[in-house]
Amino acid sequence: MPYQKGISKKDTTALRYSAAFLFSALNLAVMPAAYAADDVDSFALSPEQLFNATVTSVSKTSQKLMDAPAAIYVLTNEEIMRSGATSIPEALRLVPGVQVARVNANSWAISIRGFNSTLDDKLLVLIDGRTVYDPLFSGVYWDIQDTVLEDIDRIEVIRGPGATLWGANAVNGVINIITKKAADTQGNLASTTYGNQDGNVEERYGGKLGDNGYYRVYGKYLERDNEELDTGGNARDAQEESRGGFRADWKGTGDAKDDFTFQGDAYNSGASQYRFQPLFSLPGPHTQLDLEELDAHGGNMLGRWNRTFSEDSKFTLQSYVDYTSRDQLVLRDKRATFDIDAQYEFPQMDRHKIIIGGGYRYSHDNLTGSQFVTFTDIGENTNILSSFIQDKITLDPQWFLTLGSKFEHNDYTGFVAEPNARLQWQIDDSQMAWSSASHAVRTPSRLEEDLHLIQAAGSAGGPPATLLTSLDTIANPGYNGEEVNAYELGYRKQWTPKVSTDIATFYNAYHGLSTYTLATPAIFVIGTDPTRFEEPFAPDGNAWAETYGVETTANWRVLNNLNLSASHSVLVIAMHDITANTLGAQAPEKQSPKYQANLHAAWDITKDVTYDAMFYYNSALTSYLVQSHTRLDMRLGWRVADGVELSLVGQDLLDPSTHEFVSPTDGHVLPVDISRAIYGKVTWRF
Amino acid sequence: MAFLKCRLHLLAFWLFIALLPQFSYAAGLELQEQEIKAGLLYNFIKYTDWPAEKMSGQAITVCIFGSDPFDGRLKPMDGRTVNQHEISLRAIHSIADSKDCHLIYVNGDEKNSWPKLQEFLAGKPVLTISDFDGFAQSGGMIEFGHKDNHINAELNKEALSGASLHVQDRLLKLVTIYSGGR
Repeated sequence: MPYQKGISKKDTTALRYSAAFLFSALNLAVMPAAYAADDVDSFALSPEQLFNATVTSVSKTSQKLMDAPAAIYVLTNEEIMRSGATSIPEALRLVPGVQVARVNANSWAISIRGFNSTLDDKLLVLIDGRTVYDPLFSGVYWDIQDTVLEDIDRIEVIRGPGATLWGANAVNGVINIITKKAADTQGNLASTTYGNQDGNVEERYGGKLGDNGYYRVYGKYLERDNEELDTGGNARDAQEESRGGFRADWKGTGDAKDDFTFQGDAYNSGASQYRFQPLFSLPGPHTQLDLEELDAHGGNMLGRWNRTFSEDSKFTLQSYVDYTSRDQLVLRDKRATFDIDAQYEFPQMDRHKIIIGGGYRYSHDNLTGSQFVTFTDIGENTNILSSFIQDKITLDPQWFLTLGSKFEHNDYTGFVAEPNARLQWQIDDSQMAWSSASHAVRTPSRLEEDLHLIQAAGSAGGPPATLLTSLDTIANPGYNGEEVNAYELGYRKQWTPKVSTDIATFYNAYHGLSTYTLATPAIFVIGTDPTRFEEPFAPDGNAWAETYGVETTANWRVLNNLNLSASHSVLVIAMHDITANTLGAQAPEKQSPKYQANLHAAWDITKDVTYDAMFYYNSALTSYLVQSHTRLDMRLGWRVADGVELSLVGQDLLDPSTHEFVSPTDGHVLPVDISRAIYGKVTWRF
Repeated sequence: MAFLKCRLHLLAFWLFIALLPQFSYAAGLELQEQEIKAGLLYNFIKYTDWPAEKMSGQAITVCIFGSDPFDGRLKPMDGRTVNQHEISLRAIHSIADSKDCHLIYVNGDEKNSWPKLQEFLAGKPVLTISDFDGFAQSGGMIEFGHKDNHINAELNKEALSGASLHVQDRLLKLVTIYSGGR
């Protein structure tokens, strides 16, 4: 698909689209009067009506979260299933203010409030309380994060620093993936998905565990088919993955109210992609194209104990071990992690509601480098000790002030504090305003502390013309990581039982950004390599940035069987104190779209037939040859018999293929176009 | 060409917006789980016959054992009149408090206390309802459950007759009858 043409045209349409989406969001907000006063009196309904009524999926927990003074969105299981997404990253497209870009068949770039890349270092991602953030590059490998999607209870997404309760690196947000309790996944579920791009088969069985418990086990196999290179030709980026896992939940038998959970997963994945590598040959060429194999496997086990003392007081102890291994052309990374966390929620004491917690994480890695990646420590142990305290103070029945801080000690930067203050004004039952100020940090990654990467080779530039020149990124052990000061303001209103809106604005100031600046060039020797003239770039932490934006969400239940939800976000990024010698420093301004919008219509045509349509819009990423794009996904679901559902899904229906992203942190991977996808799915519950 | 395509997208988008609401369809009710259960609870009061001596007073006492699992949705029932009796809603936390109740809804979290409560209630005309799995099997009278996004109920006839309670046919037709016995 030719991306050179029409970029400026599309840019002007960007504004129109944004205006259109905003308009429809406002439209939703001013419509309400006709639908007010529609509260159902369930005591006036007949038993027949009640037994036939469909249960809405808004869970108690998600409702509580909607009362939280933060920019939060809860993606429910129903939304995930109805989106037709075949993976967790694809499902996240529905969440307002989250940027999801598929880089190739096996790789995604996901971010919140800017700085998108395949290894976004400002996002904390948790699955059932386990951090899936890789400390080597400070990012998440989305290709290996998966489970049976039907078994996901909800995905809570918090935009902005969630630092107080969630731990370091939640600089721009937290994605918290929560699976269902085993009691809610009883019986067999078998499904198979087949289409032109992604396909999978999965089976889950849930049963009882004695008198007080439940368990489930699952297995899943998936394939992602090759996409096409942006320049044409097979991208050879297919992936196949098998995984399995279990979860058991049981209640204690004593007088105390104890709940226990034990769960685990294991996976094995194989994929590939084309990568440009530097070539050390003096006359040139200086790059070669290699097909890189990506082999990953790993597993985890987690145990949790929850004791409930009263309705508003409980203690939780959780511990897990996690092993990951990732083998790539340039680097092999094996890592074992042990983590233990405890949390205690005090009962309400007069005006104070206090939660305290603490945790310890130990991580050991084992790296194998290559001609292009070297480091001092082959294996490194890292220890992180953390604790937090939070107090929600009731100032008066309508005003609440939440003060909290996380304290952390890590091996790289020592002691850090991450304070947070939130003010909540519960105007009445249907509207709430909030504001917050927080300070959060991203600890330096192993990449910034220890790794030496040869990015490119050349023959010009070095003073002795007979020497090869290389452009390297090197470590800076003195680098202290990044800090952000974030300010937010939000307003949420339930206009009628059917119409609600949520708006959040933010201003973030980042300091000590990990931008790479040219250090002193020197003649360099490594092993048997020819001596070369090295131009080293090191993270210096001098650059800083400002971001600000507005995120709007509206939901309108038009009819009992038709729901519309829309969201729109604006994001502006300004980088400061960048010198001519800074490597790719302006990238953040160009790697996240300024405007994003989506619209989701969910229509229950009959009791057994559902139809969903999702529009997604993002404005262009100029420096990465990514056009503005409108994407349409549709899903038709049909329950043909008790427990049997067929669905037909089309993704990106308006274009044969779309180039979504090139990661600035891994620009050596060839740009790929993502094809329009059509698939069918059969789900059988028995 | 790119421009034309954009226009088409925009057109498709507005058509989509304009057309969708036209396809209104009279589908079933959609309610929150607690609303459905609260409504069903009310209907069980309405269609259950207690022995005459238990109904001598003015009020029908509905007790919640443990914390309120209805998220406050049962509150509007307090003070309503059903079959010429006023409903009085009570939260109870100890087994001894249960003797005056006509109906006890056992919070699923109190599963561990159920055997003792059941022992205490044996033979007394108190309708017992809960939503924890295995309630009907363990001698509870009505167990709410889930099936395909609907709420269903399982009814233990033996337990009902043991307590001299009778549920009318209108409801019996809508529930599953537990047949395991105990």
